[in-house]
Amino acid sequence: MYNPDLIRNICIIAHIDHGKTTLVDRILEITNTVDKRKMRDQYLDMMEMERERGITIKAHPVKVMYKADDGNVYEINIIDTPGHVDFSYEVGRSMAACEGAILLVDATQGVEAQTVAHTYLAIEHDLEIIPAINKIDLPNANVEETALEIRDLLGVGENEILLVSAKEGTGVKELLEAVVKRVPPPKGRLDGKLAALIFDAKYDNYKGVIVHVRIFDGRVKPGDKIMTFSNRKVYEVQEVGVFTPEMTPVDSLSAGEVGYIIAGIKEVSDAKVGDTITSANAPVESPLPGYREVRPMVFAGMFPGLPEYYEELRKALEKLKLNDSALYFEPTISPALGFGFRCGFLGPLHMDVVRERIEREYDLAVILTAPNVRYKVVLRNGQEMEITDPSKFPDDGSILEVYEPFVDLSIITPVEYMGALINLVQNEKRGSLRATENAGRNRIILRFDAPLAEIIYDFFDRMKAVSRGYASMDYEFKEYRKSDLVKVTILVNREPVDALSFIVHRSKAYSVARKVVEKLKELIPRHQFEIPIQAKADGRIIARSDIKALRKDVLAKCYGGDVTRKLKLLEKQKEGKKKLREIGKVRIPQEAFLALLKIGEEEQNR
Amino acid sequence: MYVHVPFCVSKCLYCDFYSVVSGDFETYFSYLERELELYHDVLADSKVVTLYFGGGTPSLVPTLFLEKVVRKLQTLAVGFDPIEITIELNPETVTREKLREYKLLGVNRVSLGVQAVDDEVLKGVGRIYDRRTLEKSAACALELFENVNFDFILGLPNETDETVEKDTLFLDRYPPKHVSLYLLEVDEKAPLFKRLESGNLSLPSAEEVEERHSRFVIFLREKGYVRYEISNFAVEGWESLHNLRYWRNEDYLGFGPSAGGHVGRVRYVNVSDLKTYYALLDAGRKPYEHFHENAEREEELETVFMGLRTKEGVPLEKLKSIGGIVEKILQEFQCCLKVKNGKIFLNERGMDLSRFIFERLVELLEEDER
Repeated sequence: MYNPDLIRNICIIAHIDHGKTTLVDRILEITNTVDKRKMRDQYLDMMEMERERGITIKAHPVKVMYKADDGNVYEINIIDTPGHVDFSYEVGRSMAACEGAILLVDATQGVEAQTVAHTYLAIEHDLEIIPAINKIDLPNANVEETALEIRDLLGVGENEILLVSAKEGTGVKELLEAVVKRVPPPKGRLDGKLAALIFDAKYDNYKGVIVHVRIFDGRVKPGDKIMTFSNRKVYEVQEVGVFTPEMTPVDSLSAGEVGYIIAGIKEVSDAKVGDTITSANAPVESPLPGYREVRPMVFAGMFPGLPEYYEELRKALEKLKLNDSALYFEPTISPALGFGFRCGFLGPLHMDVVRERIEREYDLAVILTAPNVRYKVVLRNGQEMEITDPSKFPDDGSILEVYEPFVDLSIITPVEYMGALINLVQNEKRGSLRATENAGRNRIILRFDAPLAEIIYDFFDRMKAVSRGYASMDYEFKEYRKSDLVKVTILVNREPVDALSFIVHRSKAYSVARKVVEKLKELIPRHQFEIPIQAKADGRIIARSDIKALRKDVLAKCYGGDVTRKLKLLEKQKEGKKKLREIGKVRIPQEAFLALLKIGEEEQNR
Repeated sequence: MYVHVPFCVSKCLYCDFYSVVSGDFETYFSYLERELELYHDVLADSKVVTLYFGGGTPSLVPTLFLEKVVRKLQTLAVGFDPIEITIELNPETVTREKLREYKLLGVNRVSLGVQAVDDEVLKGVGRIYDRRTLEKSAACALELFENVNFDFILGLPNETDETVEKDTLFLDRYPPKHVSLYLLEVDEKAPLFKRLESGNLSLPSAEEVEERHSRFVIFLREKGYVRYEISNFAVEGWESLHNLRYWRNEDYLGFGPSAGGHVGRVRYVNVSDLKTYYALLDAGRKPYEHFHENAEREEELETVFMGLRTKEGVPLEKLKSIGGIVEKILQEFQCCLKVKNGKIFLNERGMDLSRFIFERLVELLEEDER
């Protein structure tokens, strides 16, 4: 029966692949939460794509009942946290729903940059942190060094760190005991006004939006009139329940508990993560702290592979949006690519996820233009504007100042790669080193200020390349800084192609422009006429490369047995050409629109 | 009439023709005779004007087998007396005796697969002879036959301006009456395709190859060869009569795996692998995998598609049902397509852009049907 003293709400801080999902599976098994026969490996990783990519954006929470050594049965709610830097706001909101956190570190990998960032976040949220070293069964486990890194990070004693093998089940019971003993029970008044924190929301075709909540004060039950605080929309509760881990309806949810609310909410954007749900009749005066509007950080144009699929793309984006309130899109028209959408994402991973889901779940090919950040421009006439689409960047003559977003970038790396990484960030990515800190015996944390624009593509892979895969990173938006930026317009056959234009720091304009025109020369097939590819900035051509005219296109061989086959081949070639976008008189293949990304890939292969 | 001989000493990297490296000649030619028999009615009232042994490597098999084919044809086709009998030769298989045997058999034209002269280029694509062997075979062929063709391919791996110069010098020393000059086309099925994909081999740039092709064409013209088809050059009066039948879209029969025929409006292509070829013949069936009776427009499309390959072109009167499309393409490609004496033809420039023009032709036809 309802006894908040026997509730523990926790999350698990772990880097990708450090064994979070396996640990949860083991906990489900030990607490008999999931029938062994139904037990599927990695229960929480539901989304197909997440499983494939080995990342969980955010899984369902789970409630387990654990009979502790003290004889009591505890309700432990495990709330998932997204494992990627794009989603750090959501991580914070998940943590706000908890009183404790398990810090799970892979004994073969040690503490990673993101783990550090999330640990600080947990400390900020006053969570009781229980450090645990996982994968101690592996022959290359380095428990001693990992423990040292954890002590550096948390300042805890050696004996407070638990040793676990989630795979074999070793130490998992001890971990649950520590949760019960060390994590405090939730505070909150059952008789207070309803205050529930939304930490996630999922769209269901039949039930509408399923809101995942942690109740701080009061109680909520079917029939109650509730209100989302930020937009003051009122709904009637149809169902409340808990995750066992299937959704299981209950009579009510009370202060301290974790569960879900179904209340006829139509879109996830009406149940924003971090927002407060309160009673419509007796609302709280102020919401739970920490809510903010999530703003996309990274923007790109998304166009259907073939123009006739525009409507289908729109439908796909709308459906995705039902489940992804961070996704932003608006219709746009590009002279080069026709009708499409300008999309905003939390970060590059989010962008990849959206693209992949559209291609996989909706079977639509899309052209995604090179991503960019949100620039702030002050015009000479004093007007201020935000630019998320390079083609809308104003003329140089009218610009007074441009500002671009900077982030706090932290990288954890073995000491030997420190030089290469500093070189990468400072010399290639316009960052500046702010501080270094030790992380264990052989590793170091590098802290940089860096422009977001430089790390939204090709940075992650480059970092992995120069550190042989050992470095890990995290970043957080810091501030807008004045910057010397210039728009580079690409002209194909003397016509500007808006979808190829980009914004770049003046110091890099020449080198990037040169690489892009060279790349385009490779990617655009030769035509019957010569095609100049030019890059223009500040009203001048700063790079040029010519695609020579195709003087010969010979069907060299055709004899008696070939007639049918050659005619079919011509048919096929003609179909292939239809997939190219025709701009002016030039046919441009889709991959050309990613030329900017491709030059990054090449650098990394060098 | 075409007879395919699907055997080779080894496979060349660029080749997408059907052939096998080892084989039982005895079995193959007995099946081939069975295929000939299945066409006895067509043969009985046809006049065989030309006969062509192609491959594969026809010069690999003992002449005895080719002789059996000729004997069989003599019994099946009344008054069998072709004016041109051609055989394809690979340099490594050429001997003086063999060429003499061919002559006795009635062969009066030989086509030598030179492809390139430079050893590195030859090795690069898996040709198994060297320059010395090549020169010997060329000299031999020219000594014994008046009507000789040499095949060349441009655009092969390891090719340079210098290696192509060796080709033309070779033609100076050993001048045949007929030259075929191809540009490498890499079919997905050819082994070369994979090598290129994996980066193990690379091709000369398209621009370089175009330049070499132009130079080669000029060289041939200066030596007195006429470009009477996109890839074929001959001293006047020495054109390949057999191949002209293809390009004029006349009737012909093809025998052996992957061979094709055209009789009236019917076009067929045989299965390409030996096993199925045998199996179908065992069942008493003609061994084709494609058999289609063309509608008038289809027939005329083929006629213009093949006929435009030649210098002489196609009589417009043969293209009545697709006249509108011919009009349109003439308009679009005024620089490449000409009409003279009621015939439409490609000029030199048009020949060099033939693929592009044919593609457009196919597209126009499709649009017209919609």
